[in-house]
Amino acid sequence: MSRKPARIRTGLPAWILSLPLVWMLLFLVAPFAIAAKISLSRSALAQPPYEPSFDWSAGVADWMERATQFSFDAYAGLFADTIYLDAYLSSLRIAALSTLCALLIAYPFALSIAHAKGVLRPVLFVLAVAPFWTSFLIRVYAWIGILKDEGLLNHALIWLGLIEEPLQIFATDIAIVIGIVYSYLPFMILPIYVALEKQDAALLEAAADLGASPWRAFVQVTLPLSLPGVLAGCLLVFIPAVGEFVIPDLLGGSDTLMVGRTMWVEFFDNRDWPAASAAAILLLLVLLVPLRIYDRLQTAEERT
Amino acid sequence: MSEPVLRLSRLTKKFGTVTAVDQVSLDIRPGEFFALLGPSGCGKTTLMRMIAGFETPDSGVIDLEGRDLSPVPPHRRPVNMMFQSYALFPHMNVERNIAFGLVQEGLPKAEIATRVADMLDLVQLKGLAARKPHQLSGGQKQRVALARALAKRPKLLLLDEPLAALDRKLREDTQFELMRIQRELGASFMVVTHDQDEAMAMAQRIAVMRAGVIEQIGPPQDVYLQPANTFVAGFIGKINLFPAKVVAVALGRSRLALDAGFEMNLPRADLQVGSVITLAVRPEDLAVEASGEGAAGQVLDSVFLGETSLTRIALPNGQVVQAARMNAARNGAWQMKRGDSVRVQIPPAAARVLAS
Repeated sequence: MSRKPARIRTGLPAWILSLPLVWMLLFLVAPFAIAAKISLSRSALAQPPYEPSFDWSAGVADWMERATQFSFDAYAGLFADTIYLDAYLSSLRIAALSTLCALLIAYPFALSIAHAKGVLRPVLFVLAVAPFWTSFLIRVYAWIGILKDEGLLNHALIWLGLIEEPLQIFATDIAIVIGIVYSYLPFMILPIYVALEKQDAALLEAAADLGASPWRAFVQVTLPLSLPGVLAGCLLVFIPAVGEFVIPDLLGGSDTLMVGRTMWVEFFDNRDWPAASAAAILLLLVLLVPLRIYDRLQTAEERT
Repeated sequence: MSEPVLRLSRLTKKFGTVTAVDQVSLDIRPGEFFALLGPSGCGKTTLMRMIAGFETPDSGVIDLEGRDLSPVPPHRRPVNMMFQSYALFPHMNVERNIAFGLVQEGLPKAEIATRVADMLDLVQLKGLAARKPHQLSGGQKQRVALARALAKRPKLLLLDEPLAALDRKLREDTQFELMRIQRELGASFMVVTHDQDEAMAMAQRIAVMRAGVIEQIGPPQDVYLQPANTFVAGFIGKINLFPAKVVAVALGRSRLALDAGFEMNLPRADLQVGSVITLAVRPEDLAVEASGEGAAGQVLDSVFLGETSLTRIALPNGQVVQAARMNAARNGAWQMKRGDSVRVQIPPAAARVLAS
């Protein structure tokens, strides 16, 4: 019965509507093409440090000749050494754990904002996004001071008598998870809040009227209706978390394997641009999977 | 008379300084179709929400079949409500919406299926069980909401403006549909509405509410023909109010001098000589002739409404009255037009003496 929603006719000139297309072309497709091209090259002692490199003035014949030098060696290299696979798996694991923790914290948070009365609601809403007013980098640095062995957290726990020896949190995966959860929490709260806020309050009254206790009403009505927000929040946290570089670099240990860091090392330390590019392209392809699932779920929702 | 299903005694609810419901007492009888009628903001919805348990009364008792409901949370109250917005669960199909209350009770699956099928039958929605709410028309949604609220077989069903969201034609059909269903189930229905036609058409008894207070309770005929005061008279149907002074009382009759400029007799002896009263007369009761007794009036305009024509007439004291006349063929063509001089009379039997 329901079909795809009809296209909205805004009557605006076509160039305004094509702006997102231009933007995507400049900042998504073009960089992707460049990275894809570099990933097919071979590392070389040159400037830039790979070949083939194309000379714009050399003519088509020269280009064709150089294009034959493209290879998938960089991709083969990714699978030759388990360090890449380990880095991918470790990244996915840390990102998944962080997403789960963020969800468990954000849901009650969003619920209490949505149920807040009067002026309290906008206040709580602003407080949820307030951390954005300070630079992301500074906030992650602050966590070093909290988590390190002689940091605030260990001092507090020892003072409270809960532990005797400082906990080793800094420079572990736990520190990374804490950093990611803290940094990305607003991205989880906001879509869940939006999903909860637009729910008709009469639905919960109807559920109660029909004999559902508050808990059952939550499980059977509130929760299922907020799932699109939950899903969007999970994507907004999970996808950047997989490729996160700053947080593992600052809070992680030397043995922390995350794909963002691995790329950094390939690019800057090993000056192996093709390997770094291949790793980036592969990451992009891996991250298409959850996006594809999200898309499928959305269309399934629309169809029923 | 059997015990009432619901008995409200001196129920009061304040929001800040506003008293939304003020010392309301009323009974709902078993199997009764009851209407709570009043303008918006009169407290009728608050009253209904207190019965359902969504508002806590400040004082008073809600007694359902001998049991005080005050300490009972909404999900344990044996009354059900049909919401004005219907409040259908958008993620559930029609069948699961109707089954929702039964699932909460933990009834066996087979029993739930039978009762849902019965409900679909009752509201004539067979074949739509698998639809989601957004695939239904307004009238269909209304039926699902009704079926969902009735599935638990409540002793008392509360209906909050059940017809407000429907268009006019559908509203009339649905009125009869609601009455049929109520008769078939034998449950008590309590409808909250601001629409007097709706209340008159459906209810066996009407409570007219204003500013948190019930002004009158009674069958539609009583409320219409013997309104307790000018508010009830004006709210239920159209009414003409004639201020008058009692000039004499004798032999079981009173002589009245109307501000409109004429005198008449009323067959009542219980009025005080010299007191000022208000006479209320329905437009259809007002006698308008081309000549004769009564107040001299001038026709301002006359509108043709189909079964009736409504004429506005200006009286010598500046008062404007409304007179209705059936457009039945036997009444003949007596069309009034602007500027016609007429005589307006009040048939004594049709005049009500009101407290203002």
